Amino acid sequence: MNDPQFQERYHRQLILQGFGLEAQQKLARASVLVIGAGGLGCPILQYLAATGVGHIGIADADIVSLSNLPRQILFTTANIGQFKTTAANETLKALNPTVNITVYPAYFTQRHCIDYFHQYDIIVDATDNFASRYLINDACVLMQKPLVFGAVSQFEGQIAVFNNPSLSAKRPLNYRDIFPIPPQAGDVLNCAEAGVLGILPGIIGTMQAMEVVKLITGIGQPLTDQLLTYNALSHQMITIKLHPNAQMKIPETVEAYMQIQYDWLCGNRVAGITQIEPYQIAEILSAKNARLIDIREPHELPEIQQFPYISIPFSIIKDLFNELQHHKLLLICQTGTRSLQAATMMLQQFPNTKVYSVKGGVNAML
Amino acid sequence: MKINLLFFGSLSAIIGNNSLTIEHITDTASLHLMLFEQFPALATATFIVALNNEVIQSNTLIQPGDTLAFLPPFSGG
Repeated sequence: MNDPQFQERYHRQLILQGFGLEAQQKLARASVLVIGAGGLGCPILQYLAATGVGHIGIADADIVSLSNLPRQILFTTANIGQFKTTAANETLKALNPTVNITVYPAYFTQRHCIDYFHQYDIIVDATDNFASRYLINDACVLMQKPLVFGAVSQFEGQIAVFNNPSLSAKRPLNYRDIFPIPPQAGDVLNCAEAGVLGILPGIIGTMQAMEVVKLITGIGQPLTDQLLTYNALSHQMITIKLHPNAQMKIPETVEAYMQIQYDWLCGNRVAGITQIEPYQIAEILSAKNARLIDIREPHELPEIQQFPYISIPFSIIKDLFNELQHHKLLLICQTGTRSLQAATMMLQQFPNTKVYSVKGGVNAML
Repeated sequence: MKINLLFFGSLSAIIGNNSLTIEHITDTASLHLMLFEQFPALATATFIVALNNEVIQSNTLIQPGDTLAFLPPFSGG
């Protein structure tokens, strides 16, 4: 607000009926933490910075890669190989130097949530996996922070505002009121596995940014305790009114929260399975009964060129465990998620099998 | 009178369509049984059901003309 160009920069918002100086000042005083600077995070960050949110936190541990560019619009080809937080910080600073930005080049853990959430008014979930989503949801309930949720799947997206205290005495709802128990890895494909058209997270992320601005300024009706689902192919939009779920359980103390193994809960990490790096594939395949099994569905690309492999899609591999159990199995999928899940299922039925999962999947071999 | 069913995300791949219009069924439990029989993969999928845009958590009567939406969790970002 001390910016001499304040009037000029925000002119269109300042003259907007129902917004104006009061809303603009609320934005300048607000602090928002965006977790994930990917397909959803980029448009969210871009609009929050452009609109004039005073303090923005950006959390992401990843570096920019070429396959990010069709949807992660804060980054350019020149940013490939840089931390997303560094590249995003530069772009946003250039867009609006009056915004304060704090970067966390880290994979957000329970410790980060407990240490940093209290510094922000609103938390935005722009992550791409269930372990992070449940971890963030639970921390927001524990620390009483409003959460703007967004998620995508192929051509569809979901948006909701959780944990926003409403005027009634009712308990504010959270993600566990919809899905009390995390789905297991493999049940639901993420974008890296199922693909996504970049514009879709652009639309959903922009809608999340709108919800953030509504929460900060008090304009309109945020999607509190509602779940909006949008289909980009049909432009069909449906908003569901949510209700408290009796099965909903949140850790009640910080200590209880810190004890939860979110990765385990979501089936992401499992004991007894050796995860190997792509460079180790050749070594393991040199054993005479070793088999590399591509468990992706037939339409998934690219094909593996470097090694001989057998294709057994995830959807049918369960039926073949009996025949496979005497081999040394090296499972590979697109990103390493489904191969880990398949290896887990295999070990549950045949605990003595030698089974490996390729970390990062085919994507890591490129 | 018929009822309308809407399927989102991975559920529409199981059904092979993002909507179905079917003959009226008395309640959501009978509807589930009918759908699980016809589309077995639906029985193991995770989803919530909304009746006329409001989430339901137990067996609920369906009126002719009602719309039921089947929504799975999304994780992508």
